[in-house]
Amino acid sequence: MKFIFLLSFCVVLLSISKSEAQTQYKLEREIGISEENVPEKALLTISGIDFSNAKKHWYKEWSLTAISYELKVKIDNKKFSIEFDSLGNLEDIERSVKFTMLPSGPKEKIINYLEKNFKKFKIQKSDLQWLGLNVTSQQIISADNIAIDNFELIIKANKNGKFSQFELLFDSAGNFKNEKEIIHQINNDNLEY
Amino acid sequence: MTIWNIRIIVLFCISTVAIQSLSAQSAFKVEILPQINVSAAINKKWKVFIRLEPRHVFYTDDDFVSEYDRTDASIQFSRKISLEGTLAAGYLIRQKGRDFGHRFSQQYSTVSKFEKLKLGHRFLVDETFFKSLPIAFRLRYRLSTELPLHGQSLDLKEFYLKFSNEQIAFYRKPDFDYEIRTFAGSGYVFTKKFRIEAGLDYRITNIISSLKHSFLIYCGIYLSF
Repeated sequence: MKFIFLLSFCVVLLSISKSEAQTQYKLEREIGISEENVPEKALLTISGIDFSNAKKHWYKEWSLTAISYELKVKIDNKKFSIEFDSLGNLEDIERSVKFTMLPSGPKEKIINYLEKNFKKFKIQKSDLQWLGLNVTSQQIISADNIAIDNFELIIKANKNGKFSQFELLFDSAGNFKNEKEIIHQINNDNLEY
Repeated sequence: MTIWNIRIIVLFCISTVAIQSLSAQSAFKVEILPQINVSAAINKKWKVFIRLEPRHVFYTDDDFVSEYDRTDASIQFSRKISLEGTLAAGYLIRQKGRDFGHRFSQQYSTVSKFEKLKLGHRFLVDETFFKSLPIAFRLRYRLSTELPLHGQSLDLKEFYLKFSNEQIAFYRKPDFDYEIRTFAGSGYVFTKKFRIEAGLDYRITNIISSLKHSFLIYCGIYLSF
């Protein structure tokens, strides 16, 4: 299955024109899994969190370079995503927020960047991101005032005449860090026509 | 998914069930509807979509029959006009017995991705020309959704569920009429260029004049290049 996934990614890459060769791409495949299939270390990391009123969903994800595990959970009306590497080490924690709720300084910088680099854009998702090296998942979920590392946005935008989805990373001050074009392998023909 | 989207889906389901309950004595038939769909990108914004759709009746009222009904072949050219919206215009030719009908269509469709599903809206108008009949006009709206069975988004080698409801207003001088189509089925994505869908398409036609309802056993192949 992994071979087919990698092969199809190579086909996508080959079909990309030379002028777009510098763009970074993101291609992920994920399936829902049960807790028994999650590395022990990841389960140990989150063992101190109170999940009594929360629904947990575990996913296993394959990207071009690595396998990871992700826990999506809603606690006190806040949506969290806790990501682990294939060995169960904490990679990052993300919390979904409305883009309008971002602090005004970084928000303005981000909007300026988007307006300068995309012809049209629509922000589909915005997350606060804490890197696993700096915090514990328990700290993030139980406290509101921990300084973030990054803002992550998913946008749909027109760039160079092409409508695509992008994942953008900005630091806590709103400075641009990274952009990846999200590759969708499956079209919407069955819903459009 | 917003509360309004949920309300729209519920409203359509209720309207379909309500009409169905009024139509117990009406004409009824079961048909098979295979479909081949092929799309190809012309450039970054333009795309061509071709569909071939023969139809075969095998049950009508109280009798099993085997009766070829008709074949439709259509071509549409579409252009991406916004982040989620697409405009398309097309032509369809229908062969029914020795007669041929012609239809022109213009549509706007939009597909939104929510956390776990995709929601598609299609607004379509078409004009049908059939020998010895006045021109028929239709105004159509279809709401459709695709729900992956594994994970949060549909990936290759995965199954999904699909539901849709379409409301169609019809005018052919001097009569107005109305039709409702509801589809429930599932699909499987083999590769990024090939998927299959199958399911039941329930249609209530001629709601104002002489109510008819039919079940279509649908199986569609989607190829893209």
